[in-house]
Amino acid sequence: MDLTRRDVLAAGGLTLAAAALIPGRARAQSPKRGGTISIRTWDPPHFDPFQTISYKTHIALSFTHNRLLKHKAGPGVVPGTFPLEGDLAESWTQPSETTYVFKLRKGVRWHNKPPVNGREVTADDVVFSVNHFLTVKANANAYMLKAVDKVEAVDKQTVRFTLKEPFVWFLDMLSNPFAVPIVAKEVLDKHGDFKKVESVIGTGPWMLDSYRPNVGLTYVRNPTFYMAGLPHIERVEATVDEDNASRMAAFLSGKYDLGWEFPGTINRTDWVQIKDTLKQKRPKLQTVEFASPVMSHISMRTDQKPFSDIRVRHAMSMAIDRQNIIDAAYEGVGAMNPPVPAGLREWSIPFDKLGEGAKYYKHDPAEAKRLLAAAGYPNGFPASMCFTNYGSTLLVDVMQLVTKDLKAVGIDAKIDQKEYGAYISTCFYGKFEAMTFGPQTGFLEPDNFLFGQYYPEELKNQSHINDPVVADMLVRQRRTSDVAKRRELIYDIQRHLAKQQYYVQMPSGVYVAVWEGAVKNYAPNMGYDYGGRLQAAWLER
Amino acid sequence: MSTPAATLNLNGAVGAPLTRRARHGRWRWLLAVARLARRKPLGAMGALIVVALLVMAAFAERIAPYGYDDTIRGARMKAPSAAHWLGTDNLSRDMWSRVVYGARVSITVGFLTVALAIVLASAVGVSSAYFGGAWDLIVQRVVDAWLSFPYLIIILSVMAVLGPGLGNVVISLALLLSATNSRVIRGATLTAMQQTYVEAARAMGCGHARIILRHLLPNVAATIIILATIGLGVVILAESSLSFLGFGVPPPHPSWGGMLSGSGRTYMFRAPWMAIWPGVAISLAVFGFNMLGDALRDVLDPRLRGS
Repeated sequence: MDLTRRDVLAAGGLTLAAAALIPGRARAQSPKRGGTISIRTWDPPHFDPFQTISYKTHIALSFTHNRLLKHKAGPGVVPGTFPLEGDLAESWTQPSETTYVFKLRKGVRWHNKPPVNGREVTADDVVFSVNHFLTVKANANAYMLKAVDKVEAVDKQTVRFTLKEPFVWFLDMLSNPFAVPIVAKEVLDKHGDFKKVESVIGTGPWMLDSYRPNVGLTYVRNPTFYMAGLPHIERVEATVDEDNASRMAAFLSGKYDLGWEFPGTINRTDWVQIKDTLKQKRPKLQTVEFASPVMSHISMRTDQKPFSDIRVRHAMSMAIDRQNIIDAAYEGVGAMNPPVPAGLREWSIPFDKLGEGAKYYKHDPAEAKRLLAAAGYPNGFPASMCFTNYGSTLLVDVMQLVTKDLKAVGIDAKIDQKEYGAYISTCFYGKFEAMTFGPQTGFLEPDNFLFGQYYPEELKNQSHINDPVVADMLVRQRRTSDVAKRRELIYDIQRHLAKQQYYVQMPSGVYVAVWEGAVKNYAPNMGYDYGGRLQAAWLER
Repeated sequence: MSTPAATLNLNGAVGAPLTRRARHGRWRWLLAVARLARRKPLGAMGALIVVALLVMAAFAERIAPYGYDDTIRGARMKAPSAAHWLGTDNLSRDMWSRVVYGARVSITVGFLTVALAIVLASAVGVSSAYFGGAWDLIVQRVVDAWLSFPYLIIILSVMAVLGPGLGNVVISLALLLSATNSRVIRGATLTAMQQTYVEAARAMGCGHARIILRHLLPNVAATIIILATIGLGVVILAESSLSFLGFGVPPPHPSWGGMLSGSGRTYMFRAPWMAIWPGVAISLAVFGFNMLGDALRDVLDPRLRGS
């Protein structure tokens, strides 16, 4: 067929006209600047990330601050996985097992607020931030970087870390949303700490515009953000809303663009109640489900009788009807957890690979009774169980199911209910008489779950474990840089731990992450990094 | 004296023959109650509710068809039916049984707290008003200081010192309630002290104890009763807050407040009966006590006697 110049022009004209008239998928995918995203948030106790482990503070600062590295975000990332990418660091190298060198991006500027007034970020700022993180007295997260021997500025754009010993999780720790946000020394000099709202000065995609205690926070776009063109969203309205009925009503009416629970989810109990109404009222909502990394467990004094007897621990685990917990408390949708929660899908061992230890996760009260009798407790035994409810009715429900299951095999768990503060300062750190039941922080890598809970003398070794086999494997995994080999080692650790049952792991719920369809290029994941996940998103309203 | 015929006792057993006078005396209280019920029907209804609650609390094991933590297979969040009058909860437990057992904690905490608070508040309020002077000044400043703290701070501080447990919940709530009540009772006592019968008693040489017990307390009784009946509902709800903070009775032991503020609220849309029945129980208890208190006030208040 011969095409004349006129035919080509006509075809081109028609194509352009069609593109203008049809709201095609391609057009919808091009980023759009502007708009306000509305989310539910929590009132931060203060704004100093070095003096609190509170998610309320760390979430608030995820919009305003950067780290050296961060977790990749966006639709391409599978929830429960945390690939790393540079944040303020443009690139990094590892000249030796204990040395890391980071090249900073050029031209990154602080928010244009006094006392820094938009000056350029240098390697000295990074060194200051890391040293402050490691030395400030009240920093409960400092352990994350305790392998660091020294950090120094090689030149204006280069930072070198020297570790005391090999620690392969070092980069993961730096990218964790509750590790080191980069801050300016001038702010500390001016305010004494970072608690005041005036000290919220970072390099992040948004700047804190206003903070209304117990009401909300407003963020506005940082025009000098280091990634040209980002963020697309002009304003973030974060509303403090402490009443669930109010939050639910607000979401139904379209007030929030993300699910109101952490991290942008809706509790399944609420979801089941409102999903049909939502289909009518907000038909464009998007959802993704993924297992929560928050796992409850029974910890026990394995250094004392009766829990020093492995048969008692096996009996306890086999007494628990985990499927019933999923059915009754998680609306039938949950994830069975080996020692590393199933939510960390890259590191949690599948049950079919758990080996001999897998049988102890099966509900078998008859076998549990037999094991107790063999251990010298044919009628079971009474034991106290320390507990706090964390303000969660769900946790209270699970606790009731657990104590009932234990009672069915003869273990009379007497609840020693404590106020939250008292619980954290005692039972959470292993100071209890016999047993404790409660959730663990939803960490984003396995080392925090394993090393903290199983290495001798660690603060969070609640079960008072001193197992040389585990200790040796825990140290080895920290030195194994080959990811595949490390994964196999972590699987081995879990196989060993499943046989030992130092903690009795409970199933986790499965998050229902929800967001408005108008929020494009957004994908949910675990962790406090709300700002990071919204950084490249835009609104198609 | 003639020998009367053998009579049937209330429990149906054949008892010793009663004299006419004794028989009359035996039924007199019942006639008095009937008369009172006719005069104060709402009060009688209140009394009936209170008695019913007390019976529920005392004989929970016999009344409830299931244990408070018995799980019924396949009965998760079932609506009220013939099998489960008030439905079942999210952990497949019979709601009626839990409401019956819940009366124990709620009624115990309610009664004991209000009783303790009223005794304390009356002692402080009446003595402060009666003796006046430096004693009044000191006592009232202490009460001022006590009232200036948010109530949860006071409760949490007391509980932190005493530790968790039902007894300590009673003590902390009573301490809180007594401060507020003592101020009201002091005001009522000051008013009563202006009356001529108090002056007359003084003029006749009555001692402090006689004036307080015989003349002042009966005349502030109406205020005290109203405070007690109002306080009961407040205390039942406050117990639930404390339980939720980890200071009260730990689950699975049910309390009405705990059932309402816990899973009841969570599943309000799907299983409203989980919140409704504990709520109804609390409302009934408060209504019963208020009505009974109202009637008692009318009977006991010398100014309203005979109205």
